[in-house]
Amino acid sequence: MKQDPIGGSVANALNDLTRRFADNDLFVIRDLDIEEGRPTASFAYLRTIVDEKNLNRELVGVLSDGHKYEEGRKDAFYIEFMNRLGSAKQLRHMEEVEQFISAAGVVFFIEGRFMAYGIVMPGYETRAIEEPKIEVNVRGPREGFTEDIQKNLSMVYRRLKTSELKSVPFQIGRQSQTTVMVLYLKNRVDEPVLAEVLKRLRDVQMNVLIDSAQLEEWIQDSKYSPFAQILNTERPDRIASALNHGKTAILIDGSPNALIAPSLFTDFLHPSEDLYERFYFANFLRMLRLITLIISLFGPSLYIALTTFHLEMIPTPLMLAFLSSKAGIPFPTFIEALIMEIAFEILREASLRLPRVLGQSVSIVGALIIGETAVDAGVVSRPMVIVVAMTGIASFTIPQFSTAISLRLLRFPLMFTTAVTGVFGLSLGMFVIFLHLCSLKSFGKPYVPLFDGREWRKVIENYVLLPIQHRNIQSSGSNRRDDETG
Amino acid sequence: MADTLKISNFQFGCICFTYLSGFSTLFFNEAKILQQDVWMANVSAIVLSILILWLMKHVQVQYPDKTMTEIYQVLLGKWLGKAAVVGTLLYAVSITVLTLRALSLFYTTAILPHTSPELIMLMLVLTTSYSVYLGLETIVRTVQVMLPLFLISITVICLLMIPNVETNPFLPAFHSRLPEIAYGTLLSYAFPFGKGTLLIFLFHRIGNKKRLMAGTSIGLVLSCAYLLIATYLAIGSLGTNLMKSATFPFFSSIQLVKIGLYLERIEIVIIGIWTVFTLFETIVAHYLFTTIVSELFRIQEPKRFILPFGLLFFAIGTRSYVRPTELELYNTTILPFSTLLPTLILPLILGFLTLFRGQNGNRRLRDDP
Amino acid sequence: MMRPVRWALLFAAFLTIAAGCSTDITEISDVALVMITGVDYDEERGKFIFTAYCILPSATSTEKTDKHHEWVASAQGDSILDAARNLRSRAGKTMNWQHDKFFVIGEEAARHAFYEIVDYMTRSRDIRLTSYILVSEGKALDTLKNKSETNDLLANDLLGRTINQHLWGKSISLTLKDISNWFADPYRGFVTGRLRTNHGAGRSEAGLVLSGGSAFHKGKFIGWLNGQDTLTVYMLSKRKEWNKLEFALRVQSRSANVTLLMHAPKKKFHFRQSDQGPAMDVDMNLKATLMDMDRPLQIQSPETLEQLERAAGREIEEMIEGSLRRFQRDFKADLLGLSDFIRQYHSKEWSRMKDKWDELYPAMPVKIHANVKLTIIGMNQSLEGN
Repeated sequence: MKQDPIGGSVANALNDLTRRFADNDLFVIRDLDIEEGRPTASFAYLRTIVDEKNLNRELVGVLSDGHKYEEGRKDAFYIEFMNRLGSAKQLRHMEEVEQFISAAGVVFFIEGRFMAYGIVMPGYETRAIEEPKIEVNVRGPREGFTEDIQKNLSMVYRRLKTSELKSVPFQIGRQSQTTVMVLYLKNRVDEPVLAEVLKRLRDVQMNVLIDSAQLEEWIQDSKYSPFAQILNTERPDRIASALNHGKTAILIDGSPNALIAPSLFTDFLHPSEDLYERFYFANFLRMLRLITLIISLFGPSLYIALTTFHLEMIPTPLMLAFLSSKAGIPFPTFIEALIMEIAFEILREASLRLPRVLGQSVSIVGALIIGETAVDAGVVSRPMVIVVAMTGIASFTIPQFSTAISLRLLRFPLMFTTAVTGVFGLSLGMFVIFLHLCSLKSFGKPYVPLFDGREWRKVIENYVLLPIQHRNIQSSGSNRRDDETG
Repeated sequence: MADTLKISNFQFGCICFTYLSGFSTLFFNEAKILQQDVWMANVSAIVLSILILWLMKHVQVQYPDKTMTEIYQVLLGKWLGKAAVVGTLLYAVSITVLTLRALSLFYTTAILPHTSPELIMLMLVLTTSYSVYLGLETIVRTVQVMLPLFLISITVICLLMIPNVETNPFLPAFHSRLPEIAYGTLLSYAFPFGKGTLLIFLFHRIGNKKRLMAGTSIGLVLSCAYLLIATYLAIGSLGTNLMKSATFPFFSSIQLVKIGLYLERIEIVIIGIWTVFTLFETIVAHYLFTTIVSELFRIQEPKRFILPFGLLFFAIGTRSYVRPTELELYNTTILPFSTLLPTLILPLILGFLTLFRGQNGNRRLRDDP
Repeated sequence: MMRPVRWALLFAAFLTIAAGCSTDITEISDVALVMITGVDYDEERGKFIFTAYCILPSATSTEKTDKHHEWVASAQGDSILDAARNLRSRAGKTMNWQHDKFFVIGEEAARHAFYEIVDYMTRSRDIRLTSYILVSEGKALDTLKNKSETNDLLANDLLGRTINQHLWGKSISLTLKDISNWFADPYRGFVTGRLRTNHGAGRSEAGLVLSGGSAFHKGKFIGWLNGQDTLTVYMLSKRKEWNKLEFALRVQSRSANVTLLMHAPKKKFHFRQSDQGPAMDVDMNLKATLMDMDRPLQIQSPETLEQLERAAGREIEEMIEGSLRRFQRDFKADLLGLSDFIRQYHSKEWSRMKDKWDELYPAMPVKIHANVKLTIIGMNQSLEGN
């Protein structure tokens, strides 16, 4: 990129800026001092995104202490003024100035200086800190990230009061110039992973970065995998505990979801709330979620396998019940399952897109009325409704939406393989999914944590929540193995 | 191959167990002959295969940086070594084809009578090709995922089978004659345990070769234990006569498991997991075939050949053992002897050559750093 | 990175082709569930008659009824399969044998075509190894036409009876697994269920009775067993599930008639070579519960109790020895599996005697020592008080 250094002349710089911000109604230049018809001290900013009211108040404030504004002491006056506004950053190129102004900054030019001073004064409104909408907890902190990265950063820094907490800024997006922050704890972070994260962020080529999801797609390992490989969260407490586990966090300005890298498959199954429950209960929940994972992935396929291929496994009384409820259903079981699954997805999508109040009534209409009448009309059978409803509900217990979606998607090919060869197709489908999961990596770390002869305890901790004094992360000082580094 | 990551001893032990145990409980050929005395055959076969693996580990340690294919060529000379490796390749082909056929035979006999065995074999080959394509590390990791699943389900099913055991399966003990036991040992070495010697071609991928035998032996011994438990549970719950006549004795005895009054035939669930578990044998053989071929002919991009090799196995599979009795005949008459060359004689020759040239080899290695 | 997509496409394309040929699908809506199967054989004409007792869903009503109706169909053919396939001419739905729990073999079929029947059943993947095989007096077809007396489905009714038969011990049902295991054994026989139609007095409809047993030896039906003999088989066979046996025993002791409920029989076999050849001793231990007595008995005194116990033991010994005589002399068949015991635990002797087993067995003395312990006397000690 061509760098355009700032010359000593304020007028030239202002001309350059005016050219750069031509046809921009928001662009404002205000002069502080004019000598010989040429401005010698000026500042520029974009109206409405800068806190103009505050700016004016401070300007008046300084001016009213009039004794300071006298010939020969102008520099002191400017510094006083800037100090009142906030911390100034030195800018040496016009491109930096341009970016700074675009990012709600006020830039000062002073004659004879080969640099400009930028102060960030965001004046736009942001959402207040609210309770997380998606990751709801019964117990634990109730604040969630907002769209403002500064607020988000403050929430993280408040939880980790140590100088070890580092943040590396990035500007991503040629047009959007979105601020992206990589956070990590210096003494805990896995160095190769950090290097990989930084490298991938440097390589991102994008015009506009609006949400973390876009960045996630760019930097994940396997772009064609149905599984999400980077965890996103709207909870600062989750970020804090992930940092403590040696991971890196990526905060994106304008997105209330931060990313955690590397993420393991197990992370997607455990909400942060697990840490705030007694470990018995937390482990029970983890087991429960493993079961729901199996149900939501294999539920309809298992039903198809049992009712069309392996009738012998159904207990006889249940078989008799199936016999009467399936009588007169015109569709093959596979088609029936497909219809019901798609109907369920439609209902889910509809209740998601509609306003909250309406959404509930849609799900009630869908679930109760359509379900009941469909059974009565002989379109679908009763067991099918139970199975589909069960799988649907099971998939809702998976805390990460992205994982729940991928499971829901994978259900369909599995149903298909099962419809072809019964339990054989099902087990092959399952095997292919396992193979795929095992081949995935997240920033060089295996996606599915497995014991490979070392550090069995760390592997187990991914699955089981140990009592707090036995957790690896609490007792050992460093996450890195000292025998290797030292 | 592109993946050169080392695997740990624990992982290698897992592979050993999985590779040997997948199919071991399908036919029980040696148990049908020896009945209650089958443990003698199994134990001697497992001791034999541990000895062979130990010998080959010793060979590998002498040449730590070479693959087994290269070691063959170093020890036997270039062309003889190549010929020996080709013999091993044929053995790998026979294993893949046998497993494909055995699995499709099982499915078409017991579970899906109207599905064509070709379809089943094609699906299997596609799956194994995909997994070979993903590389050894993925295969090993998938083994580690499947192993606990398999162990848990098989333990549960074995516990549930215990109430079905009506006759004492160990009596009358020591009632088989020596030739019978010897033949049983051959069968047992041919069918599950001798196959383990194919794994020597993975030795160079193991990180810590010195302590290799710990994991390997545990894997082998456990697979022997699993085989014995399954055999004796089948004898006990089916009875001696039915055990002899049943085509798939272990499967039949799993069918007897009953939970409560009505929950029966839960074998389908086990079969699902078992199928995947058996697949690893085919996968490992397919993987080794691909790697050995690419090492032998210095193929730069072996990944391109994975699917063609798979289809080759499929083609051979559709042509071989069309009748189920042919498979059994092959398993009980030809295989026990034909398998001896690649799994017993070649390793023994290599072992002796290493012992003879051991000093030489060491000196040469020390010379070039 | 396009590789996974290519693989997925390949797999999907392949499955699309495969989807058309999934030939193993059985839709439940298309199934007639066979719950009991009868097999008859006409020796003279060499024909099999195959009878299926099916459960069908009641029509196509979509109302919330779980009513099923029972349907008995039969067809004739040259072989079992032929007969079974001929049944299709009468059945509109696919018959499914995977839930069949009972096979009723007609007397004639059991006598003349049992091998073929057992072979057919063990070969078929549909038929459960845990299904029960019963022999019916007369034709199985006639037996299956009976209605159950409880208005329940006949199959359920029969299942309940087989499951509870250890509560009285006078009926035995073996599963296909045991039969196919013992079938090939030339040394031992076995006993399975006996089904007959009861045209009892005072009842308008005939009912099915599951009582007694049917004896098989060397792959053929050899005769019927009465309730007492069946009880003996129960007590002396080594089967885990039969250890839960309970049966009533009427004992006379000190001029009082006492009914005992005997349970938990434990037995120990001993084999010895005597001067007359092989001989066996059986030590039995049973527990008894006092159920009733027809006149007061001093059960507080140990002697009375001991006497009662001894009388019960004698009663059982006599009963068993009577049955054993019938097994050894009349049937000449080792229905209890004594040969299995000798083969397993005294294999040296067995290898010497197995060729002569057919002659040795009928003459082999079997001595029974029954030891009864009265462990429960009930909630009431004696009606008279002291």
